[in-house]
Amino acid sequence: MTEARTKLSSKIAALVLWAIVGAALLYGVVQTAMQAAALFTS
Amino acid sequence: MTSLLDRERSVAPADYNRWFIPPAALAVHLSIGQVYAFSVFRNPLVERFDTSLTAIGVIFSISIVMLGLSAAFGGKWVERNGPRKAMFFSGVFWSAGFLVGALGVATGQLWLVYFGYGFLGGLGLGIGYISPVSTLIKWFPDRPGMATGIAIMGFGGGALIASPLSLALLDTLGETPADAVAPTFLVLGAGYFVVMMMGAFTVRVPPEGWTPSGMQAPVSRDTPKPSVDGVTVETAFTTRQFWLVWIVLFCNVTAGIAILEQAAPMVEVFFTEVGPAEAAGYVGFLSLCNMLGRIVWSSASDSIGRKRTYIGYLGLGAVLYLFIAVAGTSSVVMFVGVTGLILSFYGGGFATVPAYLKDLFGTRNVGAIHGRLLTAWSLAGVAGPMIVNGIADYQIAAGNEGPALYELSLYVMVGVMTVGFLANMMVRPLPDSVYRKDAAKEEVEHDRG
Repeated sequence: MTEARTKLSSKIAALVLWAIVGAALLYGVVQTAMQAAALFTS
Repeated sequence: MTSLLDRERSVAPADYNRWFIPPAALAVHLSIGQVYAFSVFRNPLVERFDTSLTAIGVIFSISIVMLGLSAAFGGKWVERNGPRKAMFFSGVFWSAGFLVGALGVATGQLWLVYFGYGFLGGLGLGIGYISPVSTLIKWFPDRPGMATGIAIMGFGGGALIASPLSLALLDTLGETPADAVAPTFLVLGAGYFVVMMMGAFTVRVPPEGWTPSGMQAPVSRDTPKPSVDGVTVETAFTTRQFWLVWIVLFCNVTAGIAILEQAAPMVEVFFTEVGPAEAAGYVGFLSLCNMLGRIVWSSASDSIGRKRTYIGYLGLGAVLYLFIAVAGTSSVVMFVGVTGLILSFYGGGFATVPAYLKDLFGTRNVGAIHGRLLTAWSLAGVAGPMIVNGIADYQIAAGNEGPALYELSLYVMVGVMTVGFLANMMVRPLPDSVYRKDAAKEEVEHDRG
């Protein structure tokens, strides 16, 4: 029972971390792409 | 008594999903990758301390030197203690660096910023950079290039996140950016601490003897015999192979940094129609290429082999540098595309090298060996800008201007890439005698112990 609970909590922690790092990367890429767009739009 | 940070406490169950490991590595690399966005603090810090750009530049230099030193000398400790403890201490040092740095900014003590962000932060950088490498390779023995590519892409991505985030914080946390530096350091330090701790407590090492289901045999032709787990860092350090790969990394990084360092002024002098806004956009574009090259080329190396991948980085890279030197001013689009490809090779070189070391020296001590190899990065970080800036200064003194400032540098970089290419061609798998000698040495040490 305890082992199953530990497994579930580590699964949730890993999924939450995937969401955090994914969102952070997306933020960085979008911001930089917007900056880089100046090169192609002017 | 074991602590929660010990390697034994972080062993995963046999049925653990290995895709839960990359976000832990990314959490650390995305955080420490902030160091490449340090330039956003330069002007506010100059104003705050009423000092020169050089004095502020020393902060970044100390952190990069400490990165190289802690990765080189801390690698064995990281391998012995496991990724969780390494990531934990990396997070502590990295965040403490920001907090001590904030104290230095708030009290007007520049030496505290040197000690905080430079020294303490640099320790966190080096330990953090190598901490997930061998763990990822052990979880993904069938795709080591892709696995380390994900983590090291995070280091490139860290700057993309930190740069706009820091600018936003500098705008909102004080009346002027100079007033906002200390609170921004505090916010970043606290935020990175939380994210890195989440990474530290999520990371797991695979159980002894674990292999992914369906894995038959190592895919790369350079891979040592499956029965051999790897050599010690001391043995690797004395081999020809280590120093050839060291030269490969040094040449690839020197040439890449040369473009990265001078990207904005270079594109402006090559094309008169390009202004500061477009030049800033160009730097952003290169950063994206650098980040994407880390995951794309490193993943591709799992299929095409590490040696062939570096033949591409260095051989094709040399041809592209020559092309820029000869015909760089003919078209903006061509210049941007070719330099973007060069920068993707630069990023790919960083991300593929741990898998190359794994192929040559085995998995067991790959993190520690990688740490030693990163001294090539530290040295290239000095050599690349020194060559480009030195040649540009010489050309200015000789009365030259425009593209002539950089043309000679580009030809020098063709030579640098060619040296790296030749070194890579000379890399051969480690002979069996090295494994036997290493195993015998370890047995003697074990008996003595």
